[in-house]
Amino acid sequence: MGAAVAGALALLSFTAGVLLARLNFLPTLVIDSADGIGFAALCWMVFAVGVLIGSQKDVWHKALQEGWRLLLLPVGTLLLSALTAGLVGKLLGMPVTVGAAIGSACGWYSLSGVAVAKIWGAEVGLVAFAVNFLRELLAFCLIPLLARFSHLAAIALCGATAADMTLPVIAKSTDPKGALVGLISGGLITALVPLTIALLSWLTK
Amino acid sequence: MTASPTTLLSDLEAPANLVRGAGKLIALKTRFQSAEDLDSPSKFAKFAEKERGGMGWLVFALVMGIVLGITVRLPQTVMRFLDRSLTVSLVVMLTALGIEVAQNPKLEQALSSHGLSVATLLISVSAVSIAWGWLLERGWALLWRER
Repeated sequence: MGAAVAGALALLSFTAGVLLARLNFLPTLVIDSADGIGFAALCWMVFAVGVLIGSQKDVWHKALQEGWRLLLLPVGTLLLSALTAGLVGKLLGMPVTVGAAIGSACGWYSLSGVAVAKIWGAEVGLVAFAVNFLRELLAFCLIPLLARFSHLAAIALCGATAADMTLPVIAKSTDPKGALVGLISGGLITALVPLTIALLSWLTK
Repeated sequence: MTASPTTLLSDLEAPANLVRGAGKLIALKTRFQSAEDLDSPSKFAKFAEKERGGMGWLVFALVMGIVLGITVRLPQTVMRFLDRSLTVSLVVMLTALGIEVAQNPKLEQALSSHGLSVATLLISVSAVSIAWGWLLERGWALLWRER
C-alpha cells in the first residue's frame, strides 16, 4: 500500500465514522458498542504487531545494541514538546507551565484532558484534550508519509501513542525494528508524562 | 482502585509522591473521559477500574504476540494474513474512533472556542517532534545506521 493511500485511508476511516454517526446511518447497537469494537480491533493489531516483532530475532539485538541512544528519541520528544508548547502558549497568553503541560502529554489525550482540567481548570483541559487528540489523528495520517524519509520522525510525532494506538501503523509503515523502537519510545513517554505534568503542577504552586 | 480525584491530585502536588501519583495516573490511559465524569469518587473508581482493565488487555495481547512470534515459527501465509489484517483492523478502529468523537461534544467545543490556540499548539509541537526525529536519524544519534 502506498504511503499516500495509507494516510488517506486513515483519514477517510475516521471521517466515515464521524459522518455515519452524525447522519444516523448506524443502528444504536453499533453506536453503543463502537468503543468495544474499536478496542477489540486495537487488541488484535497489537497482537499482530507483537507476532511480527517477535518473529524477527535480529531486531531485538539491533535495537538494544543502540543502548542509551534509544533514550534520546523519547526524552527529546517529551522535553522539546513541553518546551515548545510552553513558549508558544506564552505567546498565546497562557502561563508557560500550562502550555508546557499541554505539550508534554505527547498525544495522551485522555490523561491530559483530565489532569490539566483538574489542575488548571476545565477550559485549559479542553484545549489539552483537543491538541493531543488531534496530534494522534495527525500521526495516523502522516506516519506513512513521514516514514518514507525518516522512521524516527514518524515515531517522534506519535509520542506516547507509539506504544499503543499508533503502534500498528508504525509497524506497517516502517519495519520490525521501527515497531520495536516505537514501542520502547512510546512506553517510556507514557511513563514520563504523568511525572512531567505533576512536576509542572508543582512548579505552578 | 479506590482513590478519589482529590487524593490523586494531592499526591501530584508533592514531589516526593510523584512516582506514586504517576502510577495512579497511568491507570487513566486511553479512551475519552471528561473531568466532570471523575467528580464523584464512585465514578472515578469505576472509570479507573475500566481503564486498568483496558490497558491490561493491550499489554496481554502484545506479550502473547511477542511470545508466539519468538517461540513458534509461523508459516509465511499466516504472517501475510497478520500483515494484511493490520489494514482492515486499522479501518475498523479509526471508524469506531470517529463514531466516538461524533458522540463526544468536547472536541467541537474546544475547536469552536479555542481554535487558534489548539491549531498553533498542535502545529508547533508536531513540527518540533518531527524535526527532532529527523535530526536524530540524519544527524548525530546514529540510531538507524547499519553497523
